[in-house]
Order: sequence, then structure tokens, then C-alpha cells
Amino acid sequence: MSIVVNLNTVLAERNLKSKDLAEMIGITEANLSILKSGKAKAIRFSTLEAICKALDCQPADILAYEKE
Amino acid sequence: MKNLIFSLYLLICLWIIGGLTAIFRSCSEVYNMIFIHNTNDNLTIPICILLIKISINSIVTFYLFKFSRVINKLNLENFLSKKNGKSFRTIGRVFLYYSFIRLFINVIEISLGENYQKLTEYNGKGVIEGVVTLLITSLFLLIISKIIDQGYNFKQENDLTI
Repeated sequence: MSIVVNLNTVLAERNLKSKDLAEMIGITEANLSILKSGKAKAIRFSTLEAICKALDCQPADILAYEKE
Repeated sequence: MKNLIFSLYLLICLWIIGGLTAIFRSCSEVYNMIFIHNTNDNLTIPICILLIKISINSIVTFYLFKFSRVINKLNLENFLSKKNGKSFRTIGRVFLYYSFIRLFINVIEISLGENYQKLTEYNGKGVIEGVVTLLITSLFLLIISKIIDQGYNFKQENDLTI
């Protein structure tokens, strides 16, 4: 898919682990892993909002469009 | 839902028994033609037709047996699965091909004339009705398989929405 999830980079910048983020936003680690690996088909606004709130960032920091 | 599935399972079991009976009857007819009949008639074509009937009945009975096992183990909580879609599609295709082959054999049996019909105790009554019913059933099964496939895709999409 041409939408890339840069969650790993943002997490590394903030010295956070996936487990911590999953706990903060209230989703399972498995679902966060699906999101990070780019296997997710869609993301809910509520999840995006929770991630942005937890990481203090903008949606554009997490999601990017890359031409195939 | 469980009662409906159980009823369907019972009907399929009856169908399997009917299929096995038809195979046995065709086998006994072949035996009679080869070892008991003392006529001078050419028995090649009737025997060939009976052997084709035995083959297709065996194939259909085998697939019905497989389908009955799928129906018996149907998981209602996860009905929209690839496996269910595949088994419905397979049995739908088997019925579709079977009905066309049965129609083709029936046309041949009619065209062979009275000698053949007396020899094999052929009774063509109800064949066309049976074929049409089977065609409708097969088309329904194929449509249901498409619905299951589409449902599976939607479910997959829903599961992968984070």
C-alpha cells in the first residue's frame, strides 16, 4: 500500500516501547503490530487521535504517502 | 439455525444413501447385461452409458459426503470463512456439471430407442424436473459461496481496521 506508517520512528524519537504505547491508547499489542507493519486496512479517527495525543504529534508525523 | 443445519445434514445423508443405491442398481444392471442377458443385442453402448452413470454418481456421492462433513462441522461463530466459501463453491459446481451430464445422458438414452429402454428398464419420467431442480440448487449454492467470499473479505477488512 502507498500509505506508510512511521510509528517506529516516532516511538524511537520519544524513547517509547510499543507495549507502552499500546497501554496508553488502549489497544492490544497485536493490533499495534498490525498497524506498524502496514498490514492494517484502515485506521479509526479515534485510534489516530489517541496515538497523536499519547505521542504529542500530528497525524502527518505518523502517516505518509509514498508513490508506488 | 442449528435445527436448519441439522435438517440439511440429514437430507444430505439421505441423498448420499440414494446415490449409493443408484450406484448399486447400475452395477447390478451391468452385471445382468454381461452375465445373465442372452440376447443378440449389441450391449456396448448401454454398458458404456451405465459405466458413465456409475462414475458420475460416484463422484457426486463423494463430494456430497465431503459436503456433509463440512455441514456437520460448521462453525456458526465463524461462518464467513474461506473454507466454507470453497466447499459451497465446489458442491455448487459439482451439481452444475452433474445436471448437464445427466441431461446429456438422458438425451442419448432417449435417442437410443425402445430396445435400449427395455433392456435397461429405463424410465425417463422426472429426469428433466430433477435436472432443473439440481440446476437451481447449484446456482443457489454458487451464489451463497459468492456471498460467503464477499462476507469474508468484509470481515477481514473490519478485523484489520485498528
